[in-house]
Amino acid sequence: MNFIDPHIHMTSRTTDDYEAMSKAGIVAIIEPAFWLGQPRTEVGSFKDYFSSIVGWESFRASQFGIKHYCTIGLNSKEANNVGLSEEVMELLPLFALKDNVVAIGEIGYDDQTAAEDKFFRAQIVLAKELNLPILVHTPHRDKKSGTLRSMDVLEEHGINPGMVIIDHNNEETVESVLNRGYWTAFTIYPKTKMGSERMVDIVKKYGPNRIIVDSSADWGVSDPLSVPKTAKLMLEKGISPEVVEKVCYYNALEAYEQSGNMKESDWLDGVKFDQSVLYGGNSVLRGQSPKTSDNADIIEN
Amino acid sequence: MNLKEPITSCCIENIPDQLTADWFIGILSALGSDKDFFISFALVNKKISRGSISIAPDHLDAIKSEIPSFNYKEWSIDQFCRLALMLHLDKVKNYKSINMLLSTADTREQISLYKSIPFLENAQDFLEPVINGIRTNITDTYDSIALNNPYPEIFFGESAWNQMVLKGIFMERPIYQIIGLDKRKNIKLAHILHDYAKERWSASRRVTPELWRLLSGYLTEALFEDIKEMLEKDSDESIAAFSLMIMESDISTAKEWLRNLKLTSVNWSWDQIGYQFWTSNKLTTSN
Repeated sequence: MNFIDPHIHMTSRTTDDYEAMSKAGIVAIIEPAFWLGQPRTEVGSFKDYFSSIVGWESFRASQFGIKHYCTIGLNSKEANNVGLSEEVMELLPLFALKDNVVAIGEIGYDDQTAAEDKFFRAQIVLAKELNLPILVHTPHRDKKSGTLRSMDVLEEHGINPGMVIIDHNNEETVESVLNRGYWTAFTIYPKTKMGSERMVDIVKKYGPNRIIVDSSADWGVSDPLSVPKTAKLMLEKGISPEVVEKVCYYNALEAYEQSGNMKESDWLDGVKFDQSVLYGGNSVLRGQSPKTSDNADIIEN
Repeated sequence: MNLKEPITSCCIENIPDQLTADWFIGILSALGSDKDFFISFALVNKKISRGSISIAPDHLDAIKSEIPSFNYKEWSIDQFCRLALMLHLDKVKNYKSINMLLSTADTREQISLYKSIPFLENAQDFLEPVINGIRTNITDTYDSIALNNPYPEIFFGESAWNQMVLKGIFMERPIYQIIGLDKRKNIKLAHILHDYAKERWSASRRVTPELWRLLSGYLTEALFEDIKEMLEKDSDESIAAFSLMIMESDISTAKEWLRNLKLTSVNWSWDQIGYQFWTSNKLTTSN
């Protein structure tokens, strides 16, 4: 079975992860712009970060046969530095139209401050202008009210819920998010977010419609194989393969395809970079899985 | 250099629907600020097809009279439209705008920018950003500067040229596609590549047969003695390459050695050797 991990921060991960992900059947990933574990203090740090997720990281992923997309946005944590945020907002239109950008995100609330609210709204307006989907990060603390408030603000701006993915849901938020018509994403991340067994129960209870599973693996203790592992558990617990494929592949595709930048054909025949088309279809180093030795102690030459 | 007109007309002729063509003409005439340029450049990606271009003979002649190596088969419609946009920038301030765009570009944009820079009237001003571009590890970005691009041959100094060629060999790129490869050969590069070959051999790795093209003309008796035992005789391309290097030299001992090997060599040109090697991907499969 093929998988999409629609939320993973690959700039923090190693090539070991890429190899394991490829082996586990992950064919496409989305890397939402987020913070780096500590706040940035210069606008140039954002610029280089955005550059890397629209260029270098896609190239890195392509070497493992994985198609890489990203979302562009100012995250809610760093939105609290208002001066810097104003400068970052100037940068966003430069990056939001790039080739692999499939949404504005992840945006929303962290502490639900006035500054967070201001930049959340400004980015909703930008997404609307550019006709891009929106990826909403819901807060760790005071999650339920933060989630409801996010949806209220989106609706205030006349955003179609079908263009929005609300992420990091749990048992407390799932019903209202589904009922209001949003794509409802769950992050399988140890300790702080969802465990995979709880995910199984949610799919059993609510079915596969508009539900999306992701890993949000980043610089913390997290698992880039959360999606395939959860899929395996769902199958073991008797959920049908069609349902599993929907929540671990097709729903993410359908949600982000609306950007116009993500198509199944991008990866179905192997992941290629542009120049291969122009220079005769050669594929040296492209899409090859690095060879691994039988003897784990020998490093290949 | 008047490339703006033929290239712009060619773009418009290649846009199939009138609505998009009108949109494109509109943005070309409204490039006021940097922001207009950045957004228009990005939007080309969404609005214009990535198909191949066709080009009227008179436009082709006009372009070739300025850029003799121009080959329309290497361009897609969206790339050509991006080139037209760059040609519409005021050349007094295009450096700042293009450089800013380079620093925020995705890979496809980088490729368009580097391919287009040689068409600018003030192409020379971009020497530093283009040399920086060669430092990339993204193969396609490297290719857009190094391969089939007239810029390096015209503007690169010797050390930047040598770095580019060495990096191409290191990244396993088809270096026969570098324009000016023979004209810009030099003894310093020949020595660097000799060292490179020895380093590869010490590590039990092969070298691309294209490397011998750059030693041709610089082979000495001492250099030949140093490499002859290691010359790889297991592929047609390798045999053709070192044979050609020796035949193009005036080292009689080397020619004698070659005769004694009694190898059946194919008579390929350097470009054919490069092409054969590249298409059969020998280096990758054997390493």
